[in-house]
Amino acid sequence: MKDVEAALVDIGERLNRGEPAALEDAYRTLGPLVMSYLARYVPQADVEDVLQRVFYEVWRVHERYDPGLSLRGWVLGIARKRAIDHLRKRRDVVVALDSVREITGDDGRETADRLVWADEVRGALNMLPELQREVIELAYFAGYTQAEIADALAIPLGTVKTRTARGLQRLAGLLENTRGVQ
Amino acid sequence: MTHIVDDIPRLLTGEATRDEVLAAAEHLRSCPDCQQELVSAVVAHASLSSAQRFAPEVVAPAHDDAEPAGPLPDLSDVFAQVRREASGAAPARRRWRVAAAVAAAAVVIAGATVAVVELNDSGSSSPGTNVALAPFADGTRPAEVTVRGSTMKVDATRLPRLDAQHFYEVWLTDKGRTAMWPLGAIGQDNRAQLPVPASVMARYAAIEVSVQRASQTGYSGVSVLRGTYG
Repeated sequence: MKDVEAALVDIGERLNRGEPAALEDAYRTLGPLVMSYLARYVPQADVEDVLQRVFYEVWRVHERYDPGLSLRGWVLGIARKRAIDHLRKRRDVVVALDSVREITGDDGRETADRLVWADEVRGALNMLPELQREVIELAYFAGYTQAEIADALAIPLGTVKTRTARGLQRLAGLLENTRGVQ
Repeated sequence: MTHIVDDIPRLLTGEATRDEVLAAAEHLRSCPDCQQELVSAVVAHASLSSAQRFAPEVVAPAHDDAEPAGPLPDLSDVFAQVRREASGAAPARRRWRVAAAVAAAAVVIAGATVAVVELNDSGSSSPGTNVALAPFADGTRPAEVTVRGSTMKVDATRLPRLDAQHFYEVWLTDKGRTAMWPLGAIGQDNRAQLPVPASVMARYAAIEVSVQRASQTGYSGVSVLRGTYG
């Protein structure tokens, strides 16, 4: 069971101190999140190029990162700027204009916030006991009803109800703590 | 008064019947304990629903409905440049273009001898203490590993350079090679500086360097360097 939040705090502090290895750790941890964000606005063929620029920029301005803030949010903020730069330089303006309009407006910021939130939810889910995480993932990601979960796992309906309720309580505590710290 | 804590998830997901919802509402209006439970459940429910609706590939990457993000691209060029800059070299004004970065060098699985540090009883490293070990597999060429504090420096400059589709990866393994811990990639200059907590090194007994395909995250099975320290 990995504590992603603790790992991100450690990575952020080392990045702020200028440790090159922290950039690689940041990439392993946040690379998928940044790719998901870029893929929504940048043509697929350009995503890898922009991704490289984002993480080099993360290193170049690492002293500006405040370890008290969300590393996810800070890195996605850089990704948004680099994506905007990239789209404005593209020659196929018909494609670029739509993407630029979306990413430079509220949509770009809201999407970044949603992705940061989703990544926090993933991290919090990973902190749950397996039995609680299992029923929650079946309910929210596979669309199972509680009765269907009981059938699938061959456990009483009452057990599904209790595990789900306890899991949601714990998940809320983890998420509220994450936001509070950052 | 019977609390409804275990029924709150069904209220939020729409599984509860009309009569159950109305009965729960009546109870919630007069029960501070269940009101608090409801607040927490709403936070979790809203978070899960938002994540699944707007970012399924982030929150549920293994699920069938989530579009797979694919493996992470190889950024070893960027990391190597960053290490050079951190060590005092002037920043290079270069553009990383994946398509233009294809090198002509072929992957040559030359063997190697690896020098590794000895750990003292406390688990911390003794700076500069190296031990040359026998080559692994077909290895013939040496590399050097030095651990100071929680940082491992790898000098594999005598290994053949790899093309853009491959890279060297450093691992810790146990004696039986049944468990592996990835430490990180070696840059295209065949050097690396990697974080390695003493507590992690203490759990393993050997260092290996493998040849990986670009974007390959799991162990390739092709190691060219190995040395035991534990």
